[in-house]
Amino acid sequence: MMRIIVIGAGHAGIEAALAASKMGAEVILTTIYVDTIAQMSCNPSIGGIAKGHLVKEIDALGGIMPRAADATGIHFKILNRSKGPAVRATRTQNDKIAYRNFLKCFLEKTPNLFIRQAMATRLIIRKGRIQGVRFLDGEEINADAVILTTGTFLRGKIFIGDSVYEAGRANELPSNELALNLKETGFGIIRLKTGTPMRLHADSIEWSRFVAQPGDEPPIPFSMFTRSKVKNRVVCHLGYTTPEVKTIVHDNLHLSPLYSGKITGIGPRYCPSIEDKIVKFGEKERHHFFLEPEGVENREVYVNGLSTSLPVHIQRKILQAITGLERAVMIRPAYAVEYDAIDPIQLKPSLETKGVENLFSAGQINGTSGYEEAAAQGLMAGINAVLKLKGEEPFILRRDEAYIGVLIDDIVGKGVDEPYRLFTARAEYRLQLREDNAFERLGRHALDFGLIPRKIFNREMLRLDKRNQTIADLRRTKITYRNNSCSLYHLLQMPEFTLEKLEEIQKKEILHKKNPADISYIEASVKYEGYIGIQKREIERMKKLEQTGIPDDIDYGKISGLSTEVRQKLSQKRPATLGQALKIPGVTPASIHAISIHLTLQYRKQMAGSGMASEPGPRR
Amino acid sequence: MEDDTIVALSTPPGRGAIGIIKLSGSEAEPIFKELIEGIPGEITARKYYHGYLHSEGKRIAECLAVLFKTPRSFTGEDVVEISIYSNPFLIEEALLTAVKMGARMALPGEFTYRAFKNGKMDLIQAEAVNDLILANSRYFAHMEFDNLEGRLSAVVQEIRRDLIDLGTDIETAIEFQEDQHIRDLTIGANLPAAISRLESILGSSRFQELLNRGMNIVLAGKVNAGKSTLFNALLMKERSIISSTPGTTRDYIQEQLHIDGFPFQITDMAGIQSRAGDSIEHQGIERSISLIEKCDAVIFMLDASRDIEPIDFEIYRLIGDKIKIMVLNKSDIAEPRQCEKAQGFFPGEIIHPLSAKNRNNLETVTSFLKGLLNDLREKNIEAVINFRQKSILENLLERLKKINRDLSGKSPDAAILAEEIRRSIHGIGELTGEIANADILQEIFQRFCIGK
Repeated sequence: MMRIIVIGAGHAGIEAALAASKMGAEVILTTIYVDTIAQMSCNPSIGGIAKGHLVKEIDALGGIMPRAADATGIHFKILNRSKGPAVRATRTQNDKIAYRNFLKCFLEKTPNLFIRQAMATRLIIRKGRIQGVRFLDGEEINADAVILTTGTFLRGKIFIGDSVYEAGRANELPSNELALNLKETGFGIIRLKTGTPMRLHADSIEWSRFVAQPGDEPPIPFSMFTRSKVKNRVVCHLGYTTPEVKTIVHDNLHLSPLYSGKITGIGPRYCPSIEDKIVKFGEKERHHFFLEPEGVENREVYVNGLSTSLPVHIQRKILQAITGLERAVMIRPAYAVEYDAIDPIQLKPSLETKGVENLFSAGQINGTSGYEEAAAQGLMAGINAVLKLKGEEPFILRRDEAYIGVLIDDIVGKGVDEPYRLFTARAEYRLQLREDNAFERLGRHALDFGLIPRKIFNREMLRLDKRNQTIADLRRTKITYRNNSCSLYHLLQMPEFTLEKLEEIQKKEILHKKNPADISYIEASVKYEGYIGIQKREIERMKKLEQTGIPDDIDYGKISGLSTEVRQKLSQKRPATLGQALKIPGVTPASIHAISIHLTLQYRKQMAGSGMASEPGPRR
Repeated sequence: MEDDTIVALSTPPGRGAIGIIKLSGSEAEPIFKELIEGIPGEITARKYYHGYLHSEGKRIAECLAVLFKTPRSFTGEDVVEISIYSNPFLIEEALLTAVKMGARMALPGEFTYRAFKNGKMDLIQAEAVNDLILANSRYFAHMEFDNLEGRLSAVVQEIRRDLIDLGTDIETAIEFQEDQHIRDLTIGANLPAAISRLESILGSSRFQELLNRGMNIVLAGKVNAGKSTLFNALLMKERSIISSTPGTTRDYIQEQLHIDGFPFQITDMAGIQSRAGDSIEHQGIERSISLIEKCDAVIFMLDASRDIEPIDFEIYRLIGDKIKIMVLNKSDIAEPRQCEKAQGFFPGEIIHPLSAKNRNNLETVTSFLKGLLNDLREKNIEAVINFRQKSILENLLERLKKINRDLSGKSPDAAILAEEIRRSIHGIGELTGEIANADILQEIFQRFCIGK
């Protein structure tokens, strides 16, 4: 039996371990501290725009995150309801302790999966191939493949004002030896930074001063596996900082390690600290934040929007200056964390490292940020590790197939220069990548790999058939509307029509026992039809380009018309195809044209020699 | 491709006073020195040298040649231009010799392509070069020059800027409005301004078409009025006959004439009237109507040596409201009162007496034609666009209109709006050759305060 070691039991590690064990591997899931398996290190929330899309894809591929989110969800919300089916997304607030417990118990019950508390210190590599892992407690375990999911723990360093100490998360041991070992092994290491806000005691907050943000009624779960009803059990609140906060931050900027130059790691632009916001948007007198309960029994409250690395006493001053938080009790201060990551350009699209065979990595170690991004990669790394050991083709999702494909293609193709977060805007084929059709896109793969039971697959296929049947009925049903005869399908294509409105006109149900995903699916299929048709044709063209191979021995110095910068980038990243080359930032379509002309000419020269002449075809 | 040097004849093929052979690439200079006898070892760029083209040891032609050094050349590479007497056989031999010395025959447009690739010009400018070569009139050539200066580029860049702003608003609304509670977000941009800008560019493109193919002028009048004589006289005067195209149906003759550098297509309605000259055959009427309908102006010729006949009135009626000039030909041989007499038949019209044969008073016709041009010139022209650009701009205009409509509707689908904006920006990219996808995310982070 093949054995896989997963180093780290966070959101990436868990999915990797579960997928690999389901596909028949013996999995050893190692973590520095077993009690923090599945810890939500930052916000107590799963999903959101683009992230919710990922969670739905993880669900379709049999991942556990969506089920855990439903089982421990305490607040459910659909975002972008009115902005169109493509960008509609689910988000839950979760009970952090329940979330951890749910997953720990689930993992403990999984056959072929063994949890082991141990700190990895060294990768055992022979002849460029991983052989096993050495741990701090002295044991060495052999493995056929290893998946690194270390999160922020590699040489993790915490910053709170002047205070700097080594830790993977506040007060948890960092993984320093493994970090050095990776560097020695030859991996290019980048230094990234992220932050988390303070946690307050719920009973010390004057709740009446804030605007309540209740969940949706009825609440809608993520997972196709979730059969029991989910329930909203807490309310989030919205609040604002005051001009006084602005003054405090300005006066104490020199105390922030971000501004004093202590932190050199690169932080995410989309997740700035309060000091960043105040400096960058100086004209704004106040900034909003959300108060998010971290659980039902648990009294800790997450202050979404006040991430900072200012000293603790300044953090207190800031809280005191906010209406409703004057007497707030801070349980955990906010902090920034700096950590090592592998530049993901060193990874194959399967998430296997190019440098070491059978070594995979997923999650924050790959320069991404977010639980969902981590889980998605973990799942793919788990699947691909098994496929690799079985000698099968890797499972690579295309950009038009899944957000997971966009995510992995982005990071392995372009590398990262800040912690990478997924946005729907990153997807060229956004109209096709929806929450409502995640199963349609990925369910078949999941069944083939044995990641979901056939029973669930069949049930979801029936649901899909019913949706498509309904769409066919819409085409057939002709009605007279405003003295014109037209089909319901045609009416639904108009922006102002919804399925609900059609039912009103028809005075009867068009689809019986429908859920919101059914409605979303049907409306999207009808309204996006034209766009999706165009996109499908573009995808075909892209495939051609993607597949035009660039020989490994190409000398970019010999291609005229490339700028020095483009030449350097290409020589460094050595894309395998024109498609990959185009994705490298700074590589323009004109340079692709130049390479393609070069390839054509080279090819003609060769063919002229051998007496043949035709265009170069796809290489793969 | 660094070593790849291309060569081509860059003037039209055929016999002529001068043909220019152009070489571009790193081997251009060595080939140049080898190809031409009498060139010193050390040569200065941008200076003409006199020498002899030779092939297989014999001098084949006298020539002038000049070298432009990289990057200060049209393509950005080393460029050599050799001027010789244009004779197809001579040119062929010269090209073959250059190829023997290591050059490769250039693909069509490859010089311009290299210039584009080497960053010497953007795509609009590259196309302008092509249009400049094809430009059919002096005026048009000036306009193309404006394109080279980036006039159209500037206009579309402005629209692109507006679209990126709008896209930023919409993408921000999608990614962050609800998640991050952004309330101070107003969606809307200079769309109406961009739309009217495009409409104006496209509106003026009809004028450009007109300039490019030439105005259509119909020469109407009964048989033997002297239309051909006038036509030839005009041609003689301008000495600029470009082509002679018999009408496809051979029912009329069309020739191109240049006045002040502008082309005019002059159509002689000759074969249309019946031989008898008294009335127009049914078929002829149909054709005449369609010819007159399509033309931009009419020169209507009366014959001073004969009486005004019913056919003259028939033709007059056919011309209708078209812009026209009425001339009375053969005024040299006619009775002095003939002009007044003719005037009497057409009250309210000005009849210009002239003699095509003696080239008398021809200025009335040329100044009429020039006047037409001046009228056109006064119209506002934003930029000159070619057919490809036009179709992209038309597409863009349609999209902008749809976006504008959707925006004013109730809760529009933001994903569709964003898709339309992306496609619009992409369309502009096709126009200018630059396509950048990451722009919008970049903008979001610069303009909005987002994050936890």
